[in-house]
Amino acid sequence: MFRFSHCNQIFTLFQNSRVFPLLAVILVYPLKFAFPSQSEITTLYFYIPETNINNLAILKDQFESYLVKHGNYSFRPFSNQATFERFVKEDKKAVILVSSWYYGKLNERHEVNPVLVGVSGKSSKQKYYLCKKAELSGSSFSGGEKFASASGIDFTREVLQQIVPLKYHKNVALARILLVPKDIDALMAIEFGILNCALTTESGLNQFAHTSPKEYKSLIKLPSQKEWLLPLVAAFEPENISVMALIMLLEKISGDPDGIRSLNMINLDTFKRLNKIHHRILNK
Amino acid sequence: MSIHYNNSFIANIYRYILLNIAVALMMGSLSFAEESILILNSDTRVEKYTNAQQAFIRSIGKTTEIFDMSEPSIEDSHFTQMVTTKDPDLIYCIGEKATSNASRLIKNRTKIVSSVMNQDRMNFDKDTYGVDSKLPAGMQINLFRLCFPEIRKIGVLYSKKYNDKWLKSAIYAGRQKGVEIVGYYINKPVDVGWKLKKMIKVVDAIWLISDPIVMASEKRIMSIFTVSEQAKLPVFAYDLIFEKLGATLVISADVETIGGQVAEIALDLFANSTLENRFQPPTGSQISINLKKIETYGLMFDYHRALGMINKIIE
Repeated sequence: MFRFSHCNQIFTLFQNSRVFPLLAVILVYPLKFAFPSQSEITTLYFYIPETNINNLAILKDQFESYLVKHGNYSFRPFSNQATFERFVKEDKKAVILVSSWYYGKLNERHEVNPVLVGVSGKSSKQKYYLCKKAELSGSSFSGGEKFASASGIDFTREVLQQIVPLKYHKNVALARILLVPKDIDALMAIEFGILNCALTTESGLNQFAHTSPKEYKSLIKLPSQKEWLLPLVAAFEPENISVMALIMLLEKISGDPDGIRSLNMINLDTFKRLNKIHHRILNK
Repeated sequence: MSIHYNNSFIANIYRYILLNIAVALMMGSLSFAEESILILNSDTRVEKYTNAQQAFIRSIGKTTEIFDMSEPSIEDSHFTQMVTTKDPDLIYCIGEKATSNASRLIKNRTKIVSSVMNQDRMNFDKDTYGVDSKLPAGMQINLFRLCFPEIRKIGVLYSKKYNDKWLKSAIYAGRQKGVEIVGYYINKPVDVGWKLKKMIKVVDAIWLISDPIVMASEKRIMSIFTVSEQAKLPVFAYDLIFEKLGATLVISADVETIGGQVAEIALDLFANSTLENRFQPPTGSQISINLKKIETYGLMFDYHRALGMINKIIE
């Protein structure tokens, strides 16, 4: 399969040939200008604040083991919003992999174009669940609740506002949130009697159903009305050739074993192009 | 009509107003007085202590003072005087040294302890609260199952003196989860070799636990890894130090979550809330896997379900 990164190799091959030097110059030389040079690095910037990802170093290794096989690419994960935005602002050729929640906030300040959306199983959307110990009453929310969550303080409160009935909204600000590394940790905090409530994704609940089926069945699970898109790939200049090349590479990432592992680390199976429904969800 | 006030009446009114202002000021200063917190850190150069400390400070949202106890020659009198002078409402002890000194020398003050390896073997007074540094056996079994769904029988070397109760809880938790935990008790360190050889014939994995008799020397620990390597059996361990020795899976408590849990306990104590238990288990986990071992031993690792949970991969 032809890849943009092969242009320079083809150019070199023709240069070395004594038979077609002129032809080489006429046919291939323009490609050198049309496609990016090997020395230019295109970077995929990663920032998902509402997931308590603390394995950024191995995420970088894993993504780069896929990307560098196909050209001069790098992967830069960030855990701090200000640093992420500072780097991205300076690189107009940046391709970003961010959560759809954060994308909405970034897009209010900088125009960023979403191109791909993550897929897990067959879905590119996810709901969040407020889980409670079976003994607690269903939808009431006193504000004295203590939550375990792997989704960051701001996002957890925002989702809780979506889930609890309107009359309890003012109590959401009072809830205390203990941040844990993973969804499964949040649910195990209920299982082992450390806390009474947790906020989790559907994939976290699936893991819990696998490890603790009895406790899973007895949990009160209140889903959010709103659905969020899974992480998005977006760009400031999606028409730029280097940017397009990296986006195409991400589109076919699930066809490569290293690519699949990279995606599994962020609980995705593949990426696909955004359609009208996705845009509608994003604009809600 | 005019009203005449004599001097003493006006003076009384004046005094009354002044008294009210004073009372209001006192009430105000009392209601806004912030609880004082002293952090005793066993050694601020130790990353896991500092991470717990930072997470605590982030979560508590109150002013704290830190005292580094890494100095080798802190005299008891100097230490107690320092605490008396600072007069904190709450003391957070991080690590063994801080905890043992505070338990021994400071009485009748509220203390919360964390990052102490063998906390369950220490005696604490009724004013001491804490977060354990070991994840409950059931939590670890849950995570074993997510990573290695085919492993059904796990062997444990333990001493009755230190881990009899723990083993019973692990066997019970395993039964709930469909995993058989097989315990081989060790009376003296010299038994490790032959008990291990007996154990590897019947189990799918070895679960290394913190036990002073099993781990009496570096030689005994090394022998566990050598025998498991020869038998192509994975070792599941509880601390990252075993990563270098060849543990296939290491599951440890997340120290930042522990710092957050300590802050939650402190907030409950300041609010005079009743705590169900003075000590609670940690609830966050850190997982490290050795991919090379997984491939060499031909283990079935659930990449799809478990890879997103892994914090460190050794290749």
